[in-house]
Amino acid sequence: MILGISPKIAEEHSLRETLDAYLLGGEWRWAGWGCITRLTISRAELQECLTRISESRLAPFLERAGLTGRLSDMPEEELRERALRLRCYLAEPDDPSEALLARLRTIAALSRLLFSALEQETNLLELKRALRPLQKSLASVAPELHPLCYSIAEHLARIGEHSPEDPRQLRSETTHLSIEWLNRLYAYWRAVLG
Amino acid sequence: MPTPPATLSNWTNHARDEYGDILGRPPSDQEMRQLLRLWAKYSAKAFLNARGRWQLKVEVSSKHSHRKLWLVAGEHQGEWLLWTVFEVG
Repeated sequence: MILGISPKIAEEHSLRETLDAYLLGGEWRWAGWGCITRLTISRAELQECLTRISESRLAPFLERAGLTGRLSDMPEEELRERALRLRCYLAEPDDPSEALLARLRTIAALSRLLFSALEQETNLLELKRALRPLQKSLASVAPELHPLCYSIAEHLARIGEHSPEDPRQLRSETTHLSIEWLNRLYAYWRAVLG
Repeated sequence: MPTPPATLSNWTNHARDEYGDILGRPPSDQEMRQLLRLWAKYSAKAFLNARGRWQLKVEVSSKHSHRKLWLVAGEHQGEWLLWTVFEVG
């Protein structure tokens, strides 16, 4: 419940948060006393949320994004793509450009990977293998994020089978940096989409 | 004020692996030596990075490609080595 705003606006705000948490693989939430928890949204929760708004003023946008009918049969990748379109319509009711979609798609994939690596404590070599191609794509689709790409590339260059670095320190720095990268990706996402 | 090493005596296995990842194939000794030569040529431009290692950017051209690479040098048992290599994109 958001104080001081109408229930309709609050519902749309909550839809934005639901879409963000689903697309980015999670969202940080202040839980009081300086604690942070991670909000995650399952596919079922997203579908429930979309059903709830199917009779609202947002119905035409659901249709334009292709999010009507039986969503449970839709492949995950397809659902994500359509959810991303809906998220763009909530920010601007015009069709998003392919360039914008490519940027947001890459940012969302990076974010999901980092959230999952933090949660599952993914092996550093595996993380590097998955992260490097995404970092390269990010550099090409979002050149304005070059300093972030630099930070990722610089750190990944320290990870390797024959790395002379101290593995424990590398693990701890990777965790710390993953959180920092997530925050930077999230800040960019919010700056673009509100 | 510390000064960067003017030359590097060798490379780590890790630097070789990283350069291999960038090239998409294992680099030859000649290609690794080319990086050491580039270090020697531009070492005056090196700076200390946040981890206390010397770092500089070089351009490596061949018939088929042109790359901008960051070279990082580290000290191991009194020797200056090419520690790692990376490319941003």
